[in-house]
Amino acid sequence: MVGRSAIYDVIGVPAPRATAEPDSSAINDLSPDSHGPARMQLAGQAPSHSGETGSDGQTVSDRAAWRKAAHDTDQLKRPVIRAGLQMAFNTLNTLFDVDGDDGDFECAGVIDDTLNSSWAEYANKVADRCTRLAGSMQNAGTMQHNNDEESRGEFDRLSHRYRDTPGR
Amino acid sequence: MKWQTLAKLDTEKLGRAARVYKSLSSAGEQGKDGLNNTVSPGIRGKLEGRAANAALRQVGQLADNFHYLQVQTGLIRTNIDLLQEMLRKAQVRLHQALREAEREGFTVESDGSVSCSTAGSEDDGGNKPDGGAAHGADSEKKRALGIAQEIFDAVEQATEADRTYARVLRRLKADDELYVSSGDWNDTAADTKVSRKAATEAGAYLPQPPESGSPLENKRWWDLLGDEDRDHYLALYPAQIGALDGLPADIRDEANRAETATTKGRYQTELNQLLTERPSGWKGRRDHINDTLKGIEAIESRFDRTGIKGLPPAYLLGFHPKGRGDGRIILADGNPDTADHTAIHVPGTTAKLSTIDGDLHRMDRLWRHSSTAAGPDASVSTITWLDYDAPDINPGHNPTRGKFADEGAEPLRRFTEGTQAAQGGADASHTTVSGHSYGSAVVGEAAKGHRLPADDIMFQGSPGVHVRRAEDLGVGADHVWAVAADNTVDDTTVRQGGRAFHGGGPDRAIPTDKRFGGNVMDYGPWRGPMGHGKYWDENRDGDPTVSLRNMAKVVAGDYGNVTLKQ
Repeated sequence: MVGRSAIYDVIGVPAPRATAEPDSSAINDLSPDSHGPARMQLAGQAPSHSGETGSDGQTVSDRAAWRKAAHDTDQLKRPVIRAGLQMAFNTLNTLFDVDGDDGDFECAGVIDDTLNSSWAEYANKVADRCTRLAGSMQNAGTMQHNNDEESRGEFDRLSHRYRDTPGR
Repeated sequence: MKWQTLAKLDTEKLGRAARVYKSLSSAGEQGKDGLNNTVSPGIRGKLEGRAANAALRQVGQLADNFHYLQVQTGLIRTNIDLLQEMLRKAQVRLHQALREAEREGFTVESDGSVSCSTAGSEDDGGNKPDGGAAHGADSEKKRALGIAQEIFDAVEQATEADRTYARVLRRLKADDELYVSSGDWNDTAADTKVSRKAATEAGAYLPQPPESGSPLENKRWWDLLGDEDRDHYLALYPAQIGALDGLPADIRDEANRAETATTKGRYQTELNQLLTERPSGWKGRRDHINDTLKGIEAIESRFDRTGIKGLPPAYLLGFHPKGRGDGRIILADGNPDTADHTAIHVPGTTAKLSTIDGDLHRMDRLWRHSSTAAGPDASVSTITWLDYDAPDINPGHNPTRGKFADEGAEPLRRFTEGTQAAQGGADASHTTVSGHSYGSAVVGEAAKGHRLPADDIMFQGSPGVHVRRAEDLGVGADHVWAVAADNTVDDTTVRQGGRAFHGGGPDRAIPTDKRFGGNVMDYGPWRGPMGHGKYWDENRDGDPTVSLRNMAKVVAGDYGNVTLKQ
């Protein structure tokens, strides 16, 4: 699902699937009250108090903290997606009539052609990054990984995705 | 631009575009604040290990994306708003001219020239773009010429604004990747400067802050500004807004965070260039840049401590690489505008950007134990205030001189007044102003003449505070508190050595002298031969030392539980 637009998270989506890969579609229920995929509960790893440790070394309170972080991170993408959608809409239905009445209004072309498309794309990428990071947090808190090191690896892999490249 | 374009231009479309950028900028702010103030503290407070650290790095980078988004789109929004304003003005002018032409029965030609009904053959104006020529009998011709000139000027005004803002807006295209580099922030700094210049050249109207206004006047100015103008100021003048005493803490924080990010970008870019080119005299500049970057690192490190042991969000109330000599960092633990108890602390000799980290940690600890002392129903804000040229230990710039305190007094007074104004008045918060070492002389100088709006004044390791007695500080002698690290080498040297230079009155009294008349607090058990920097120490178990606990009790107004020196 690499490259799937985060916009789908607001306008309706293909059904998400659970996977260890920090993928845009990996998030099913990021509510902090969610206890993760069913297989986690079947493993009988839900101790009755927060100090108890599971086979992956995590306590119930650790898992709750990861789930809350995932939920909170995922929520932050919504306003960006809303504004990005409006911008994408403006890009599709250009604000100005640059081939007609507004033809010699230079800023019209800059706003419609240069700015709106680039910022709609940036907003979409930021929203997508929220989704991926929230997915990794969710995985860290739902026994997708056997230990701390595996979870760290998943977070670090995100750095490679967003590393610096010669740009602007 | 043709006059027909200007005449028909729907400027509300610009308003719509600006509103979308405003939404995006707000989303950026929301995302950045959510990550910094909720997600990161949640992880730090409850999780540990390599995965948690790796997650925090990712959260920090995502927060950078949101911050970059917020600042850049805020700038776009402001530029579009100001362009809209310019075009509206030009359009109003054009429409007036067109109405005038219609009233007179003149014809506005496609090239903008104006013909009279009595027109004969004319030889002028045919080549003139966008208005300016007129045809007809003399009196009519004169009126027509005037209208043509108006049309020409209106179109010229709009064309100029269009050209200027097209150039500015083109710069503000989004980066094509999510890695926010120092180069990106360096570009943002340049974009802000260009946008500011465009606004000035275009004559965009922004209500100016009161010239040399008092903090209260600054507050009134800000309170009366519309939301749009506030956003424009924040986008175009972050350094000025961040430094304006009297403004709300969250606004100053927003401005100073942007200023810090762009300064870091500028300085890192310049440092790379310096290290490559090594022009003459480059080492001095390199040192200044490195010192500033260390200060920024200390600020960022404080941001990253939010959530650890309950530490609240930080508010950056002041930042400048140079300030009044040693740079400016004013940073609050917790929001002072809503705090029940506020402490403003002035660090002493050798304080500067590159060494501010230690002072920020001291205020973290003071916050923690003052909050405990204040109880769960009261909020506390502890502020590190470095906005004066603190003396160094070298000839010509040494701490025996009073000029640094004299020069620091006024900014401290203004900041304290501004904090009070933003809080809503003298009774809104219980305020303690504190000074360590030479910083105590700054506090004394500011309080001299009863002009410092504080409830309590507190000194640590003071060499004298430029007044003869505690009662001269204006808060009442029973609200003056001092502590000394007795029998330590450094603290005794500072206090007794400084007495001759900063002690008040003919008897050169210092705050820890009994005759000074204030409260002398207990330092607690001896903690080694050096004690001048140990007032804020915690014990190994995290409990406060006696000196720290006593200072925390003063900040919380719990005077009855302060232990005094016997």
